[in-house]
Amino acid sequence: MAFTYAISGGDWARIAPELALLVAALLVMLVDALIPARLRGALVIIGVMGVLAALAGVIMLYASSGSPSAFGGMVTSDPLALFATLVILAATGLSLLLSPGYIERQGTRQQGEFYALVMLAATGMVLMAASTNLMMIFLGLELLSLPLYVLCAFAPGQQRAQESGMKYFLLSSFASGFLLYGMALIYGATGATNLGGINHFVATHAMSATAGFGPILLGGMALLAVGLAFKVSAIPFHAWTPDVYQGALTPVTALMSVGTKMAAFVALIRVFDVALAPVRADWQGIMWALAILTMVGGNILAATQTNVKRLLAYSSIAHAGYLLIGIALGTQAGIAALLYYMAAYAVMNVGAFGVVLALERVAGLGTNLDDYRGLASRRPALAAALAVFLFALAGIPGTAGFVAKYAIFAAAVTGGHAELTIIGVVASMIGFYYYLRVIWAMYFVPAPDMPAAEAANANPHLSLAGLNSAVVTKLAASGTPLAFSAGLALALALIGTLGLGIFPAPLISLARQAAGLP
Amino acid sequence: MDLASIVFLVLAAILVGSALAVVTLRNIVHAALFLVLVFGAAAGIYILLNAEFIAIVQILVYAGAVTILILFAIMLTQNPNSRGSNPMNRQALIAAFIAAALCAGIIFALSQNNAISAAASQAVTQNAGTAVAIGNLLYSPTSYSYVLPFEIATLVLLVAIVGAIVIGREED
Amino acid sequence: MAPFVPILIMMGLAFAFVVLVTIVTFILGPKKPTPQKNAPYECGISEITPPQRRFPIKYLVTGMLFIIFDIEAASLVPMAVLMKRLGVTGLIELVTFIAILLVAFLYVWRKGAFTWE
Repeated sequence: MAFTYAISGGDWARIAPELALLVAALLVMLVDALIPARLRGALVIIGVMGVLAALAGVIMLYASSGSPSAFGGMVTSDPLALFATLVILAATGLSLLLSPGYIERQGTRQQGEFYALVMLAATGMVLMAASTNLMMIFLGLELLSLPLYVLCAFAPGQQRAQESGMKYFLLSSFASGFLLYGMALIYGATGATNLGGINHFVATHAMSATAGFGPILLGGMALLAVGLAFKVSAIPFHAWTPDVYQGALTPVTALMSVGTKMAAFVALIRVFDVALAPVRADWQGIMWALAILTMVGGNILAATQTNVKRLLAYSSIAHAGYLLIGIALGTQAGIAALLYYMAAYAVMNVGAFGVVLALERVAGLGTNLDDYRGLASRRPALAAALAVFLFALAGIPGTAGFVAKYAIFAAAVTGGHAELTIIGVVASMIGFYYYLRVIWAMYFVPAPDMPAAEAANANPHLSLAGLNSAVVTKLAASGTPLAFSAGLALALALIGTLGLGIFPAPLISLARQAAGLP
Repeated sequence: MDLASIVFLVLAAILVGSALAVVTLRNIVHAALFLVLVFGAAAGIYILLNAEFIAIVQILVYAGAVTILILFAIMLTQNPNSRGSNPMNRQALIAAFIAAALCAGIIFALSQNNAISAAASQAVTQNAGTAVAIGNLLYSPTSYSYVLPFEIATLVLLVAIVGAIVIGREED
Repeated sequence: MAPFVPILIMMGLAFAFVVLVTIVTFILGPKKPTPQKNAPYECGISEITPPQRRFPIKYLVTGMLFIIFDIEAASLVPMAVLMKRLGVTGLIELVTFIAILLVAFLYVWRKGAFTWE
């Protein structure tokens, strides 16, 4: 048997962003093993360099011509993959910048592992977004999930973090089982694991009840939808989200809420909106119902929260609902709106988590709504930044969130699903309530008087350092000073949130190109 | 009766016997050790089916590593010396029902002279499970390459290693 | 079946060797029993609690590392049997595989998971 080798250097060039992230991850691990422990904080530099190199790779691939498909149809570097890569890279870069200082404050000693796992998770996200084969989608999903399981349980000796990691591991593995079984059934029904082959089979065989493989394909689609809906935390597969988001270290939460969603939504687009487009009638109802449940349920549940991290977790569920509209429509305009929404969500959500992180003390203390009372007088800059991010999440005009919501609701109307728009707008109204509640607490409620003793308990490191109680009270009330890189990340997120809101045109055209529109 | 049939019967007898021992023995460590025998006998049956690579994996990974992990887990969580550590539970009836249903399903599938059994027998005669056949598929097909998934799988293992160190090591 | 006859012969030989060595040492070995030798091995006072106790978790880390490296070794087998036919491409694949594995190995080594405290 003679082989004609399909793999060439060009194939590897097509996954340049993934390779850049991977090399950075491996470098972090190697350097971490060789340098003394006190220098490990500097490893974040390698991570940021990796993200920048991956960014260069994306720009190179945008500029390159030729067939985007690589490795015999396993992965692709089409505009959709590249757009998703940009979003994931933005989330990864900002999360990395937010980490120094914060993870030391949380008592983490294994900083090398932290950055290596973040980079590997990002590799998995980008890879999943680039996959055009069910097997690669699954591998990408595992490569992004496994580091996140570990990262969720990262804070040493903190019960809530352990609970977070364990819950995410058990439930997510269960969901992966659903996904894999769905893939097996789809393979059984269509005889292909690459999405092009599935699309070809489905398009040529009328998948009615008489076609024989109908029930198997239907079962496969349902299981696949369950697995991916879990990953984007759509209701009723959302139960893990608040506990995991609350217990995990905040940079991890920020990365997870954006990166995992982006990767899973691209998989949803590729599998349902593209490969299974000929049988849209069979799955559209599921997505329609998921979108409505998630929008309404997420917003109602968020309204009752008293912890800001949990509130943002439920808000992330609600946003998954708006995003699901883009899937349910099944139109290219819907996909373009979804992609723009995801980009806007990346900057505003990571930004909001960034402010939470700056105010958070050891073991998740200082994330309750009560801790935000009177923040405007104590930390005016942080309060203003959080207000902007929350206004954007609520969808106030002038911010990225408004343009994103407008785009997706407009796509729903033109796509013939005005009812989704009406429900979405009503759900957003509920959303205003809880976002404004945080802003109200920051600006219009006076700060509680914190007794010195309580403040010292809340921040043992400071009392150990021998500071007098007046200083302790002051520092504990206002939190620790902002690290330079975290400030940079917040500034970038702020620029992104306002910039995408005021000048949305360039990114919208990029999203339309990714969705295959002129 | 040819040699292969005799070997199969011997292996099958060992497999069924030790599988019964796994679920009925009172000491859980003994049950875990009988699991090694189950895996070993299954590996032998794989070899009879010309699936040598799967047999290798079965021995290396299941009989070797997985059972060791199970034993470690038992010893970590409880005193391995206690006698009644593998009590007969109350799900025997349900288990028997499910096993019977599975058995009926397999027999039904095989009795139908359809694509499934035809494909299975074809796979056996074509040596689809040999290391060479799997190597061909994994590393060097003409149009459809699994090289990338293979390397990605290595990365997943890399993450597993880091995770094992991060989670498993005591804070020093 | 035929290709496995040598393996069966090999297994039979190995088994016979073990049995034979055991029997031969049993027959040839000098046996001079004394009461001290026949007494069960004791050292110090008799035990108060059963000696078996739960294992420290570092055994589990070792076990997990074993299973991971084991899987990596198993996945090398199909590549090894095809090495000649795969040529340079196969070599590149193999080197990539080993390089990633090597990073993991170096990492585990430097983190001290192989040392025994």
